[in-house]
Amino acid sequence: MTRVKWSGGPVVWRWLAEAWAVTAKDLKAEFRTRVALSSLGLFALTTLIAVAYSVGPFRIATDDRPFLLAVLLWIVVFFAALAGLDRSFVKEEESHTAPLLRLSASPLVVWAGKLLFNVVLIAMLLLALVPLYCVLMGYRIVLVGWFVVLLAAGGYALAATSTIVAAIIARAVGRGALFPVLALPLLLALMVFLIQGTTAVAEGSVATVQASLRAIVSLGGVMTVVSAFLFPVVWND
Amino acid sequence: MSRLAFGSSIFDFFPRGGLGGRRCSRDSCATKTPWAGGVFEFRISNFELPRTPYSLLPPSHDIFWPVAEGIRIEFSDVAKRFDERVVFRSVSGVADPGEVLAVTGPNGSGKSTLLTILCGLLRPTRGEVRYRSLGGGGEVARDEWKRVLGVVAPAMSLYEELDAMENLRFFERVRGLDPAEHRCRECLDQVGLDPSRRTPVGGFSTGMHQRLKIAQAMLHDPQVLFLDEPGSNLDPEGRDWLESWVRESVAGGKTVILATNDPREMEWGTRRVALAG
Repeated sequence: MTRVKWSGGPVVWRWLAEAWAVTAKDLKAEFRTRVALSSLGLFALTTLIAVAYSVGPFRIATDDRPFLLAVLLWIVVFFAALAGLDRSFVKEEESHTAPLLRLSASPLVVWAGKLLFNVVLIAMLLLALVPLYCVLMGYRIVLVGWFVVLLAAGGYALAATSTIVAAIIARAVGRGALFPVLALPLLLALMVFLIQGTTAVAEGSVATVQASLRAIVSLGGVMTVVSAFLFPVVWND
Repeated sequence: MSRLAFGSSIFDFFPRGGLGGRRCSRDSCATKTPWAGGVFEFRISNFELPRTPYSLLPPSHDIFWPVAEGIRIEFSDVAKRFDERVVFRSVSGVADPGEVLAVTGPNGSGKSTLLTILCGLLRPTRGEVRYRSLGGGGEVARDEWKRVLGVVAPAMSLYEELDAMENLRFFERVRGLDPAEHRCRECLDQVGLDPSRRTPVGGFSTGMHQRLKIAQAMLHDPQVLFLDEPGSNLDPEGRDWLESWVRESVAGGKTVILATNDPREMEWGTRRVALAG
């Protein structure tokens, strides 16, 4: 039998490699079953079509367009995210793979891997949804570069918040209903700043975008730090 | 000790059950000696010998050089209660390297719960569990337990969307092992699964599932093995292989904790904890 060799090298590099292993495993499993992708995609598509059909590009007054279309965009994104971002943790518990993962990987590695997986899901959702939304709703963005930064920061903050909430609810009995109930209050502030920022990129107000971005990055940072401390307790106990 | 006579290459010098006991073969040797205040486990392999002066000895010479290794598990006054339901009130015991601690008891007596507590997945309501490295490393920190233990249990599943090799490669990476595909292949070969088979585990039979769980548990060559009904769903050939693997592991100085009600598996035990239920 070949001798077992533990990985050497810098701790950070090993830690990243282990976290990436969790992400890669989740992505591979997800692309084979497409449970979370279908939930996210179908929810986003259904709401987008409903919004486009009922509101459309011409039913909102020009002055109200930047704000109202920003509200509608983030409502679609947030509710689609809530439909699928808890899957990675819930599935581990439902399919009884979590105990072995607990015994094999350190909690922070699992958290980082799951967070990265959720970031990838959100990125895919935003990449597919936002251009379609802009076309269907006739949403004209003035500051495209800032909009991309806003989407990236908002997507990360959304994934960070969803990941820790999903970890908390995964072992609860009524987890299906608990996820949105627990996540929404935490996500409300983020949603407000994202709407404010998106309105500003449509209006061309750089100062407002920067202020919103600072708040969004702060929220994402706070959620990341809090999650890193909270997750080992949630995961192990 | 006749139960642990594994064939002509292994000899037993002392009867088991007491403090003393020694087994050795041409390639490896384990001796357990009553020592002042405790039991020390020594193991030596010919290929691990330093070049001088011991390399002067012929390779097949049965020498006893104290290379201490192995993990001793001590648990005392362990109790577990889920809300109002008391699973067990006070369980104590020791599992030494080179031994099989058999946990027995009727259904619902808490065998699996005890194993879950001993491997660190569940905190006991009362009592404590300690892993001691007999190599002089002292107590093994709880964070390090995952490096030294392997678990096979009905309540632990593998990823059904991945195939057998993908599962093993995942656990290899996430445990912090150097990626080595040949080691995964060896483990699958050992348990009788085809490494080139690309069927997702969801399509496996229950027996194949069990074999893969065992392969996963042996992947990092752990010093402690927790086996909860390891023979369940295995065919007679698989059970024979399982027995030989457990005996080899014990001979190699591993600590094995086994929860079972199977009379054949109970026979592997060198110590027993019987839960009343």
